[in-house]
Amino acid sequence: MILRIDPSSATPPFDQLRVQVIAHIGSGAMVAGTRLPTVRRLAADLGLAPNTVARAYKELEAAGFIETRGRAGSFVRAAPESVEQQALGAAQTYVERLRELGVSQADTVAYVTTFLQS
Amino acid sequence: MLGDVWSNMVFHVALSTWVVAVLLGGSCVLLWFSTHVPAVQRRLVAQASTAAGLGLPHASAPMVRAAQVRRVRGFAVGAFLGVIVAVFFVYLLGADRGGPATVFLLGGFLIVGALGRAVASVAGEVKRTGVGERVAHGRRARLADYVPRWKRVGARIAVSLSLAVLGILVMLPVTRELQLAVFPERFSLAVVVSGLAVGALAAFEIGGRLLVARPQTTASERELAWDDALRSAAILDLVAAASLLGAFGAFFAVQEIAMALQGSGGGLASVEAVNVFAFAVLCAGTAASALTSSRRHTLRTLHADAAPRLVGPK
Repeated sequence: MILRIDPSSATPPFDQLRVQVIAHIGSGAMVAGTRLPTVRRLAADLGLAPNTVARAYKELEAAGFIETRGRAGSFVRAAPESVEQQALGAAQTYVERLRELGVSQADTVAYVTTFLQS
Repeated sequence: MLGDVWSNMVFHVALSTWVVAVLLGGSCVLLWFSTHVPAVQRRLVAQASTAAGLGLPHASAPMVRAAQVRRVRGFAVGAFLGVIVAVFFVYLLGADRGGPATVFLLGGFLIVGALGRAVASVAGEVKRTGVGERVAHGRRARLADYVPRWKRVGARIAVSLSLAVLGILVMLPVTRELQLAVFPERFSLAVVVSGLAVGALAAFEIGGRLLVARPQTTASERELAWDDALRSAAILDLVAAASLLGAFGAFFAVQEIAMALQGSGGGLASVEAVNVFAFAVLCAGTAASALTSSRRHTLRTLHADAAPRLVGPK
């Protein structure tokens, strides 16, 4: 799996890096536990400032895609829940709550529609 | 002083030894001069391309050619020095009087040649040729990505074997009253070669990791794959040097043990039998070291997803 930086692109290099790592994780090319290059090494390879790579790693870590294990380096985390899975979870919680309140199926859908239209 | 040694060498070293030495030394000189011929250089690049399984970008050709020529010249210089040192050893030890002079010469040729090639190939790299895109590996590369496991284990086993047999050799005078029959007691070629083997193994284990950690400034995946192939070749040269030194170290130690036992009437083994056995071991080790197919190892480990695009002419 290769990371590419296009210096002429309007997208900032840290964002190019971040998006590619997410894409690799999403496609399964980077599996959980994959050890990422060090900040300095990747910066040297791509001709970037170390701070640029560090920013990309920091944002990836904040989003839960990677984790830093001290001196051992940065590793890909187990794939975070997909948007679809999170949406399904939220929908399930909503439906269960309205069932508890005794709301009918038609009204449950109607509340959502009304909320979306407002 | 040196003139005396030289004149003594000329008259005391057997003619057969000189013939083998001249043949090996001559082949080194020929090899060196052949690298100046453009057709040979093109052939070296084509061989590298086949061995690496990669099409070569036009812009990167000079870098690959320089690396390949440097490797061959490194081997030629090392092998030539190895033959000179071996002749000197043969003279000092009197090894051509009923001893394995040819193995000494071949050993010097191969061992120092492999060392020379390893030293020369470390500097080889492919650098960025364009100003546009920049590429890098998305994961941290390891030594295992550049050298097959069986080669790494083989080098460690060869050096360990050399040290183990050397240990037995060192213990012999303690356990039995033995005298080394042929070689001077204070000098043991097995000790020297085994020491060099340990050094070569350390160079591989440490130098190999340093090589892997070196930044790669390339502008395309094909350039990156070529840089990986050259790194792999350099590390394989270090592995080959350690393997060869280990095999020869074990061989010399076994031979010194056999000679010591014969000299003391132990009768454990004949020198001839040991020579045949050792020659077989060396042939196997040399053949294993000469295998270049494992240079495609990086295509399987670091470029597996892109290998179909990278293989073949650009």
